Amino acid sequence: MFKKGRIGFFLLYFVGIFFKKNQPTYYMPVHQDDHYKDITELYDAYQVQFKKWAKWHFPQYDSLVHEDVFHDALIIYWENYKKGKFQDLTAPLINLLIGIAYNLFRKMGSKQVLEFVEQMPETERTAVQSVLEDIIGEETSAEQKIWLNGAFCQLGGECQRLLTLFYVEQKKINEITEIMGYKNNNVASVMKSRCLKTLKEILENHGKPK
Amino acid sequence: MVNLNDEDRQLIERHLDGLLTTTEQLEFAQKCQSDEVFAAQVRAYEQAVSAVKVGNRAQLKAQLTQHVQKKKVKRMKLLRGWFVGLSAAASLVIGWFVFGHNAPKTYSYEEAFQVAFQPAHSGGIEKGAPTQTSLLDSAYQAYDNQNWQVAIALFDRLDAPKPKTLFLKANAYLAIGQPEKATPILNDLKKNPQLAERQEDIDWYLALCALRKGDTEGVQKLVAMPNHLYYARAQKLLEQIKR
Repeated sequence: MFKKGRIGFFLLYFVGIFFKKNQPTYYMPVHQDDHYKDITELYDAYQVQFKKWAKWHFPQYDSLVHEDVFHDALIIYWENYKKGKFQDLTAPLINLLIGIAYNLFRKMGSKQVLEFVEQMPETERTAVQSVLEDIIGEETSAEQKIWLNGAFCQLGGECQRLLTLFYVEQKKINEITEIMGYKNNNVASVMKSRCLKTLKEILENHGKPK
Repeated sequence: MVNLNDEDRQLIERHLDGLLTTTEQLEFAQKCQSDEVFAAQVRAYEQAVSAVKVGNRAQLKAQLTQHVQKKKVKRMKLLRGWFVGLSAAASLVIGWFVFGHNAPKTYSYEEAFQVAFQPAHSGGIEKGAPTQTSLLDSAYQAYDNQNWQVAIALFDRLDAPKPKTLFLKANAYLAIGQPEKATPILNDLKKNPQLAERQEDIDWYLALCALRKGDTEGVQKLVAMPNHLYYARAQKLLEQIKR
């Protein structure tokens, strides 16, 4: 027969399960498939988990800030993924995104220290550390970003693609030749030099903001 | 704008791509210190590379923002669809309650007859001639059980049916939808002084017989008599048919 105490215990147990179920944890079950076609697919795959996590741990920021941080985390991940940085990583992707976002929040002035991020497994910590330069080392002001982006936008589509492949995705000249469909590596090399020179000239013509 | 020679340009590009050897790096640093024009060009090229990174990031950001906007629009459309659907459903339900549920119904002649017709009560067993008592009992019983065909058959077997029995027989005919057989019985009964107290009932059932055949004249006659027992019912019936 149940005594009152036991009933109370079971009630508390089920309430505990309910809250535990609704509390976002660091190690969320995620699928390992990271072969996403583009960044928007990545967004769709992790936005719910990420926003839940951000809302839980950084409630002082509103949902727009959470969204913005998620975008930045995705972009940092995506750029590095394209460079081939995370090819052999077996850690759940959401852990990397959370690790990157945690550092972004701290850069914004958040004092929160999340034990589970600080003490994450070595593989994930190394992966996040490897992209921290993108977060912390970036000293470009907002005006400078607008100026640089304005110049980049004035480049032709082919030059944009070629320079992105070389300087962002860090592809080799022979890979670029294949991707862009050039006759040989020499053509790709010449094109790259020409595009970079054009971009430099656009920047010079527009004048650097103070 | 300064035009660099090819050699310097290639040197800067090799520096940007991280291809300089240690010795070349030292020479490159010395050149930057001694030649201000060259150093300015190195900075300009470095800014160009930064522009590629910033531009690519801005494109990715724009792609994400656009994607989020599209999702929002899609969600709004979906919500609007749900809202419109639910509003329409709610309007229909409210409309039905306000207008449909309480709205007076329009009847055809047959429907009006079905609504208005209530078979007359037998008023319990009436004792007939001793030999006929059990037969009459059975007929009344069948009538009370709304077993109309049996009741009619039993009423027919009575040797000398009383006026009340005939009245019930006419009701049974009306109940099975044979007003043409009920009408002559009721017309005969109307002339019978024994049923003087049920004259108004007979009027009503005659009017219903006519109505069943698609004729409202009988009902109209009742409406013309405000003191008639069935005046109100006849009036209501007529209104329902008119609508």
